[in-house]
Amino acid sequence: VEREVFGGAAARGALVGFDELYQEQWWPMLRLATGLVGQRAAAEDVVQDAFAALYRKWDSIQDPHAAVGYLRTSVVNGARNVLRRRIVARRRLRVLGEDTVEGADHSTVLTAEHQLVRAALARLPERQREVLTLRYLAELTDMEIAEATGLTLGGVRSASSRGLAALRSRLGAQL
Amino acid sequence: VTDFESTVKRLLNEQVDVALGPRRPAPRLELPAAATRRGFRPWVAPLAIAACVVAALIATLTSTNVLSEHRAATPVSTPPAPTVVQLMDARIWLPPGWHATVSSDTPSAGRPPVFGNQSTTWCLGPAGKGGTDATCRAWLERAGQEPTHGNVDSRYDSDIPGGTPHTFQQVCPYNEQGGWSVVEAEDRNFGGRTADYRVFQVTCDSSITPSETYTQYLVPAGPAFALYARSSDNALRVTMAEIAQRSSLPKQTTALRYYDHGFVRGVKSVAGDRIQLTIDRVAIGPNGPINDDPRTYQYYVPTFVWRISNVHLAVGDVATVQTDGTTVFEVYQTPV
Repeated sequence: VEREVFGGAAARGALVGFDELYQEQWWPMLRLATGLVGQRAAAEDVVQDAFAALYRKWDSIQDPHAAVGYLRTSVVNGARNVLRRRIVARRRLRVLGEDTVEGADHSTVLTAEHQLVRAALARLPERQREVLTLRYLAELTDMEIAEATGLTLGGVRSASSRGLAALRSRLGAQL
Repeated sequence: VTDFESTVKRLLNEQVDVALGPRRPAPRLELPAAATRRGFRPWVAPLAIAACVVAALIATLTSTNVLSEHRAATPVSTPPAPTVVQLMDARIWLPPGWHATVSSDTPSAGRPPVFGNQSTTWCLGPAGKGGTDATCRAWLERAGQEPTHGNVDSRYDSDIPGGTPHTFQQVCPYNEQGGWSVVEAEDRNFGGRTADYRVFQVTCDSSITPSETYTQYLVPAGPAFALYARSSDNALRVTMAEIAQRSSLPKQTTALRYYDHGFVRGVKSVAGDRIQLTIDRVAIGPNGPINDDPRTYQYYVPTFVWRISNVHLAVGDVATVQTDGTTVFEVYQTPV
């Protein structure tokens, strides 16, 4: 990737290039995508697509914060597409059970508690699952979650409250 | 953050740690052929220069005509007087020299959209170039439709400047992380109705965007109105107070506010398959709830709504209630 100087940031005395942003944000975005789609390979594709989309828009982005926000939104949208495609594929192939391509030892490394949380999250509606993942995994504020998901602030708070209540009622006694 | 939340957070992070292993550097990014950026096109420059020359010529000719017309105009001898204008079903008092113009500004033009696209907005301010169109100092907005079931939003939340977080992105155009604080919060009269009056200090994290003071009168029951201004100094706040006092809004047509939140003071089942929720209204600032009003307000939540909402409210929690003006359709615990 050719090294570029960030026009807007450079004007304020900061040099931020696409390369730096990619090096810095690839891992946090991969963690977020993994939390959303549950699979490393699919997460890597989502992140790759998000950076490719950012690269195409790079000239029109004036600020590094905007770039990070754009990436988060792309990752959330990409994860939604992966999960929806997965549901459609399951229906067509009549495959039952949880879709996973992780190694055989993966599930043995996770404790029963991890499995419980994973299953409980998977049963939440899409919006609630996204909001809780963005809050607990990416540690975003309500405002940042609203921006990444396209929900209103009230929608974020409602989804968070409902999702947490559902998790508590399903897991409260077991955690 | 409760112990339960901490546990969920820890387990979520550990799951991802297991799936990904230790942190590794980013791999080489393989960009598809289509992912090329638009570069500078050399043939654009001569066209752009030609366009600039033509634009400058037109501007010079136009300004010459305008100036000559102005010289011939009769000077205004009478000082402007305050006026009262009928804006749909509201009679709005305006200070001397002010006008009201239907605003077609979009959120991208910087207008805070309180009630969304279905609303009607008037720009209020001194006369602009045309002699009648107002130069916007404040906006008046009338909601066009009532909130609908299942459409959870914060448009009627008095504690958000301009109503939506999208507005906030307009305030911090560099997508900076920002915040706001509630400087003043009280109930005020607006045209004979009770309005949630708020003054917000809105600050963006970087120093690029200067902080702004928002002033907002929001009447959160049908028909809903909002009078608001960005960059509001003391003089503008005095003017807005005068507009609020001297105007006349149509009477409230809904039994309930569309949006409310407050400390839970009581929850009990009552006849009619309903839950009686008593709240002590608060304004929610970044440092927690502001509770200057000792009165309590009761909402009757249909039991099925309570069940769907899956809330576990206890006395002392902050609850948010959303209604369509007649029935509560959403209730949830508000994180503060």
